[in-house]
Amino acid sequence: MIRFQPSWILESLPPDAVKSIFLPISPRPHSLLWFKRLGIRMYVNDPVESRAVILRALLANGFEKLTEPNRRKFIRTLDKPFRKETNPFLSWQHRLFDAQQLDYLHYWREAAFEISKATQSELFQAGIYNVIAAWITMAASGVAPSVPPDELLDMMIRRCESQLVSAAEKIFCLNMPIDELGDEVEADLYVIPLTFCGRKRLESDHDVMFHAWCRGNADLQAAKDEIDRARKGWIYDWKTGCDASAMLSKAGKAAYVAVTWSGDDLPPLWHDEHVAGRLREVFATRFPRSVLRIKAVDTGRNDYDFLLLLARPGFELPQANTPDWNRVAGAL
Amino acid sequence: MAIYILNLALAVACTWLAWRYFDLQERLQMQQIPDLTFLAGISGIIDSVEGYAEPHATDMAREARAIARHLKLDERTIASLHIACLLHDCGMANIPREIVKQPRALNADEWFLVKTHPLLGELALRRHVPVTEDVPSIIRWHHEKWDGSGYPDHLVGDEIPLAARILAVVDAAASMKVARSYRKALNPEQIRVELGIQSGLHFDPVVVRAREAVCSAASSAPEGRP
Repeated sequence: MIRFQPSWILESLPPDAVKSIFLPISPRPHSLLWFKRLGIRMYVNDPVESRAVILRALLANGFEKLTEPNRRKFIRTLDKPFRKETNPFLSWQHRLFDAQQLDYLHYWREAAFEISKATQSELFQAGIYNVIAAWITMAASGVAPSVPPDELLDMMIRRCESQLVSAAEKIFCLNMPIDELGDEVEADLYVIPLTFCGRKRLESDHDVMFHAWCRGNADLQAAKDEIDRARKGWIYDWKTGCDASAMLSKAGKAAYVAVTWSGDDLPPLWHDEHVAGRLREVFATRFPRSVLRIKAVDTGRNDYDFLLLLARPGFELPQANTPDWNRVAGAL
Repeated sequence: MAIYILNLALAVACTWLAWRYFDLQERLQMQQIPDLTFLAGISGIIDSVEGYAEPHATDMAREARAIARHLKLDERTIASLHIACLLHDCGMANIPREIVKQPRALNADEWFLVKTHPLLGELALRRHVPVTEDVPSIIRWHHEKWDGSGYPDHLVGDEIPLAARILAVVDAAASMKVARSYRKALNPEQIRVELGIQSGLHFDPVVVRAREAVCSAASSAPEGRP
């Protein structure tokens, strides 16, 4: 779990210091829309294909909406069960979804592949990601969906469309193994969203569920393993930490590095010593200056957000916690 | 027998001391919380700037406290939530008046500016008001939605702090009570139905259920009692 806050990163750095950003792994793509809206050039990679689909749907897509013919053809009410014998998600029945939801998940997967234009299919899949997320959270709370599946998908796709903005700067969405990314990325800011080894149940993990849906295989553990393999070393393991050297090797020519994470059960001091301390130590060779910003979320639960900023020699790093709020909106 | 009585007395004394300790600790924490009467006055000014004729934020704070108590949140979090309700829209003061007062639908750029008000509110509090430290975060995320379609950070489900989820529900309910240029004011039953439709989509179902329980308890309480 990570509460990725683009505005916090920007307001913590000197004004106009960031014109371009590089992220070797992506947080939830929706959160990056803020950078896009502010006209910042982005190089975003995710080694997980299902995540890259959403990245392209929301960030690479300029203003393309789902066409009316596609909307009419693929967002429709199923009058009878859809090819139950070939549904790859049947094992989820009664455990995660009901029979009707599984029919739709099967039908939508076939529809996603039938839509020939990539941007159209990706937008369609971004809507399905939101539907799956909504169904999971409803199931976890014991709430029956109040909106039929086809209407819900239509609503979610329209929401995605409403979030689309045309990018003032080029946005590069990549889907490459992290090791194969070039080391000489020319971005001002290098951002690492750091997540921790999951204690979350697979059934309640939106990314695992969506990845399983994209693979067309109901095996959630296999989906999780695939994601973990792709992100190996970039997820903080409680025993071994993270691969800070590999992270440093992707810094390219960036003037600043921002590592951000959320912690919800250990005191901030632990995060300062164990997570930030290790990163500072490894990055010190090229980024000797650093500051750790901590934001209280729910102090009663030791729930804090962390932002470790590192700078190359000669680059200013504001130490005082005095953000300039006029810069938040940019245009104000 | 004497030993038995001595042990019993010791047990009673230990229990009393523990109770006193936690009671004092809670009182001490409450002393660090700013003057709520003063903040309620400030929130009244924000309400009037936003065009509310009736108390808006103080009503929200009352409802939020009741929901938080129903969900058994600790007193410190309840106090933070109360303050966050009073000041939740303070960031709107930085949004140009001609946009806030616009009777027509906002265009994309105007809407983007309006969506910055939780961030402006958070920063203003961190910078100018020494409130308890959770409050700015609650304000930052009071327009996040349970299904991830909110703003500014598109948080999903329990990534959003519970206090912010409560604030989102009471804020929505409070705004439904007021007539807008594009719709009439809703009555309590219509509000209940509307929140029910959005339960699990925009709003945390647990909070929506808690609000229903609180409202039905309030409506069935004898007249004159809160």
